[in-house]
Order: sequence, then structure tokens, then C-alpha cells
Amino acid sequence: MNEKNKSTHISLQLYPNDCQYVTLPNHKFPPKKGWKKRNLNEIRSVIPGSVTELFVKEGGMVKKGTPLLKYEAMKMENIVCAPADGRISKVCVEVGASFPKGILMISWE
Amino acid sequence: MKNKIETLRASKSRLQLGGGEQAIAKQKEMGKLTARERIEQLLDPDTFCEYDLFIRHEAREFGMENKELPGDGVVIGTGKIYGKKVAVFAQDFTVVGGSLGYMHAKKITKIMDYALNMRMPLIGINDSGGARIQEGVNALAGYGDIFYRNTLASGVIPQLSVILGPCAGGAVYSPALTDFVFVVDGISKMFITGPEVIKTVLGEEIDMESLGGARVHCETTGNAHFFARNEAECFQQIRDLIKYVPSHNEEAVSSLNTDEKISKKIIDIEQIIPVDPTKPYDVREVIREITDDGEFIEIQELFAANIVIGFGKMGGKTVGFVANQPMVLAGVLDCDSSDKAARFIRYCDAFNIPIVTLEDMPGYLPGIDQEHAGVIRHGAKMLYAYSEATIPKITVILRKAYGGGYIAMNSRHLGADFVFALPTAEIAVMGPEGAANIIFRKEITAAENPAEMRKIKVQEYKDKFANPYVAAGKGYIDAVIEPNETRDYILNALQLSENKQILSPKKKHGIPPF
Repeated sequence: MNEKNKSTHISLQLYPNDCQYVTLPNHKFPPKKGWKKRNLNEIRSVIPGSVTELFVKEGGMVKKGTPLLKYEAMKMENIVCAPADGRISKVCVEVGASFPKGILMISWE
Repeated sequence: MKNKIETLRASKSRLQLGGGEQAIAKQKEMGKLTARERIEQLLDPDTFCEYDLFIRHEAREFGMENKELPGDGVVIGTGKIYGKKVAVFAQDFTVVGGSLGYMHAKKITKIMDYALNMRMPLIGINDSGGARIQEGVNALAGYGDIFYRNTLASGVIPQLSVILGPCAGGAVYSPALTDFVFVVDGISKMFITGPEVIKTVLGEEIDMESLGGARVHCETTGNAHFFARNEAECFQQIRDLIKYVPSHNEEAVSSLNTDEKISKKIIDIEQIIPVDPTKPYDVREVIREITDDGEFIEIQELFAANIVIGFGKMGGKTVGFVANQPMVLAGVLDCDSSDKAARFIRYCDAFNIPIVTLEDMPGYLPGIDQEHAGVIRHGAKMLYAYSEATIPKITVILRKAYGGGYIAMNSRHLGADFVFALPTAEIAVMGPEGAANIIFRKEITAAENPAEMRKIKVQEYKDKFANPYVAAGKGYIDAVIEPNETRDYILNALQLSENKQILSPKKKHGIPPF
């Protein structure tokens, strides 16, 4: 095979009956993650940024619409509010720390 | 004669019942209206005129030849919406699941040809189980004929698709080729391969709603443009949209109505936009302040909400709005928002609808996932669409206009006819913090107190560049205006550019970065 067509994810299948069958995956396919149903009891970061203020503590009760934290991303301050009533079971972020997209910030029950 | 007429009436009412009482009851059980009820709700009362009711199907195998399929599972005709002529087809799920056979497709292509030749909008109501398997390749040929006409009519007449039932496999590509797709919660289902096939082939489990329900297509895939909670709301949305779009691409554009009453609207944009650039607000409020009577019809409200697109009227004329939404993801440009805006800009350009761009964004979103998702290719679509568009293009810079985003958001350099800026505008290569860190790196690191020095330098940069006057000094901005003068300046610009003509180099067509 041509050197430049080789990829790190090549899968080669050989058959003994004089024939060689080759299957190549799409280069983009292997790193893809499986689909997961969204957990509605978690708030994840939707954009890279940093938390500038935390309004709630673990174990605290919140009502729908209560501000949970303020976070700065792309030069804008955003206030994240509780999407439903519940008790905060975990706060996974600290004030001042920056984080990428998709990390768990707060979960509740 | 009486007898003949009686026979005609009898067979008409039999055929109009579609799949019969039982099938209709089943359709109702699924919470759906019948094809004819849908058309009735969509059109002005008593304007519908049906064609091809007596069509006979072509299936000659598997015992199908003896079956009667009323209308071959689709209703076609013409009617009016707010007095505007429209062509309609509606698939009838009560007749063999609305499956598409040869004559079924022939009927659809017939009404498409009518719409294209008579230059009127086409509305297609989809509710079908897919290709009629008994008709084999004839059914596939039918789909192909429809796709071909969708493409031919694209940019000539507005094409609207309404998904009111399943729409799976090849069938989804007709809606995807049309301008606007309407879906209803709990009723619409669109996918190429259903949950069963996905489970068999890949072992992944998912239910129909999570795979291709109305919400998924409005929020995640961007395939649908309008989300409704029920069919009645959906038909009202279509009627509203028809008010804004022209019947065809060469429709004579009416002059701007500069009536005293309309132009003397009291607006208060000053109160909406915070001076502090780190504070978000809802840009749709600004749009509503600018349009006649505060009316604005938003398109793809739930998809890539960091950019807002839609139609409003100004001086009685339809205007397309493209605006960054600081309230969502800080209003950044990313793959999806560029895609969404670019297609809308091309729509407006095709139908001679002027575009007003409201700009307030920090630039393109950085990140590995964005880069690997092809933000270069997607972002380029927007540059292409704006540059290519020859309709009047007006930009108002509300606040932030940084970097590549400044160029992309219909800057003077891409051919904007008028560029205005509010005094709160900040036009620069990047935000003050980032810029100061780079320009004054040496000073900052050498200082006794780097944090203090950084603060001073950021302020210095802000004073120098975080304003509209540098760009205005170069003529890139035509006027720095007061927030509450925005509507008047836009109205005036629209009036001035009514006869705009741009001579583009001759070519067959460009190659946009699709």
C-alpha cells in the first residue's frame, strides 16, 4: 500500500484462500464517541471558560431559576441557573480554575 | 345529466375519504390530522382546488393490481394563503401508509412543475412510510424526479416542507433540499436509517424520538427550521412565513413606505445594550426595536442560537436579519452558527431580500473540537455568502467586533453598502486582554508587579482601540450613530440602495465551501 494512505487506524483483514480483502475505516471514525442520553441532573460546561463566582454549596437546596454560578467565557459573563428544583449533590468546579467544554460542573438530585 | 353528476359526486366523496373510516380513526389515534384536514387548516377558507383525484396506481405485482388506492396516497392542488397563490401537496397516511409509488410521485412532480412554471411557493406536507416496496425501482425513480425538481426550483420559488409523520430513508432528502422545514413535537420523525437498523448493524440502542424527533432536528442537527407544539401552531407558522417571502425570485420589489407614522417609531436600544462588554443581553430585543411594529419571525430559533436569523418588515418591506446573540455562548461564531447564517444569507440573496447585520461577537470559538469539526470550512461559508450576495447589505456594529469575526460579519471589506457603529463598538484584532498580553509582553514580564502592569497596558489598549473611531477614521465605518437612531439610519440606507446593481464577473456558478 501506498505509504501516504496509511493511517494510524488501519485495520487489515487477510484471508488464506489467495484473496486479500482489505477494510479501511474512515479516518474520522475511530475517535468518535458513542451516543449517550443526556443526564438531566448534570450541568456541563457548554463553552471553555472559567468560574468567577459560585453561589451554591454542596447539599444546598435550589429552586428552578436560582443562580448557581457565574462563569466567564469568550469575554462574556454568563450566569448559570438551576433548570429544576432539587438538592445540589456535587460541585465539581472551583472559582478561578479554567476548564474545557463538556466537563461536569454541578450535579443535583 | 343529473345521473352523471350524481355518479361524479359519489365517486368524489368516496375517493376523498382516502383510506376509509377505519384508517382515519387510526390516524386520529396517533394524534394526527388527515391530509385534507391539514390542507384546509393551512389555506384560506374555500380556496383549495384539488387535481388528480382520479389517479390510479401502477403497482401490478403482489396482488396490488386489484386494490384501489384513492388518489394513490397523496393530495395535490392549489390555494391561497393571505390571498397569495400557493401550490400544495399532502401525503395521505391513511392510504397504504402514504407510501410513495410511481403515480404518487407523478402527482407530486406535477404540482411542483405547476408551482415552478406559474411562479408560486410550494408547500409539501410529508407523512409517509417511505417507498412502496411493491413498486420496486419505480418508487425510487419517483424520489429522484422529486429531488431533481426541488433543486431546479431552488432559488426560484420558495419551497416549504412540513413533516407531519414519519419521513425516513430517501424521503428525507426532499425536505432537506427545500428552503424551510417545519416539524411538530411528538409527530415528526426524520432519519435515514431507523432505530431497528442502527441496532442490528451497530448495536447502538436509541428510541425514535431521540434519534430523529422534532426537537432533535430543531436543536441538534439543524435540519428543521420551525418547531411547533401541535399541527395548528405549525400551520400558523407557515402562514406567517408566507407573508414575508416573495412568490418568486423576480417578483417586483415594492418601494419602501416612508410613512410618517412608521418612521416616527419610538425606540429605546440604549436601555437594552449594556455598556460593559462582558454583560450579555438578548439581541432579539434590539431587532424588535428596529422593525415595524416590533414584528420579527425567527428561523432556527433552537439551533446554534448564538446567531439569530429571521425576517422582519421595515417600511413595509421584508428584511432579513443576521445578528450575533451575546446571550448564548457569548455570541461566538462556530461551525453551526456559520452554517446557519450562510444558508440564510444565500436565501435572502436569491429572493432579493436586503440583509441587516447586527454585530456583537468576540470572534470564532477556539477549541480542538471546533478545529477538527472543520471550523475553517464552515466559517468560510459565511465569508462566501456575504461576499457573493448582491442585495443591499447593511451592518450595524453594536459592541464587539474582533478578529476574523469582524471581517465575516458583513464588513465593508466583503462588500457591505453601509456600515454603522454605535459608540459602544469595539473593533480590533482581538480582545484587549489578549492583545495587551502579546504587544506588551516584555513590559509586563519586566515590571516589578506584572499584574499591575498588565492592568495598565490593557487599559491603554482599550483606550486606543476599543472604540469605533479608529475604523471610522479609515472609512471602514460610514457613521458612528446614537443607539436610538439605528432604525432611521437603516431605513434611509434601505431606501438609498433600492436600485442597487452589482455587475459580477460572468460564470456558470461559484464553488462555495459547502
